[in-house]
Amino acid sequence: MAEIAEKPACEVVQLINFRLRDEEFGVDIGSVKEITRVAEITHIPEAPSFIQGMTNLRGQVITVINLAEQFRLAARAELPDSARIVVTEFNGRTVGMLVDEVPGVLKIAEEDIQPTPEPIQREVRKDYIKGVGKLANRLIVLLDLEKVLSPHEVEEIDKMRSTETKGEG
Amino acid sequence: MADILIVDDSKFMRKTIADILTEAGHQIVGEAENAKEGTELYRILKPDLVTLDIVMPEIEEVDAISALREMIEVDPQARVVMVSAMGQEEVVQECIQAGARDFVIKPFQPAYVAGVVNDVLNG
Repeated sequence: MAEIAEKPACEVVQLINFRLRDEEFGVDIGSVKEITRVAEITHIPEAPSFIQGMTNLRGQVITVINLAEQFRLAARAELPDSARIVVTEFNGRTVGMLVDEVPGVLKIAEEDIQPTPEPIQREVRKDYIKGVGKLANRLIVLLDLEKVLSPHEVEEIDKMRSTETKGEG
Repeated sequence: MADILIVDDSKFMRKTIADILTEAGHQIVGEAENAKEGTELYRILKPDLVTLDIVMPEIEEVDAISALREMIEVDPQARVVMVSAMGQEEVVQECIQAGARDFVIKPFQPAYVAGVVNDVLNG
């Protein structure tokens, strides 16, 4: 028992938990600026498919990423009522990630986070998967939001945004 | 159904309130164990309602009342219900003046808590 008592307190990671189709994901709470209900999303003609459109976040126009498309998950005809936008920053750009539902915040012990199993690595580009969290009978795929978009895709967003700005001016 | 954030330093109390409000059809989007964490989660999650324990250890000079004030600063329409023990009437009064919508006093009946929360949500 003495050994257990001397064991240092286990580090706990705080995650924003969200769902996309049947999958559960988690992102470090520090990488999330806010979560917002889905207001009107303006579709951009000829935008790459990973871009859902633009939305107005209290006066700031932000790009909304279609995360399901990015992860090659099944398409949905309509957004569910529970859909939310997870707002994050990409090197100074504010970007929203469209998800099906945000059940809330989860705390998970670092020792319950394991490296990504092979089958998942094959399904999703592995560099943005930090690991898999085990929580009771749930498996939560932990993402590095900063890496969800490739440098090329970030460029596409910048290009589109500069076109938008020119259009407005 | 509303998105609820529970701020309480007692794990037992967080679970009790979570069970009552889940049973009443709401979704618990976050649980914070101190006022500082509560304000951080409030900013990110922007829940429809917060239950805020009135007496919690102060973390980095953030106590329940300063957390309440910060939430109202983020959203003047913030719906915050204070959770207090008996004998804290003065602090409760201060919180109501600061913008808390209502309060419940421990020990409470589940139906009473659910009723106060629903009244505040519909009010």
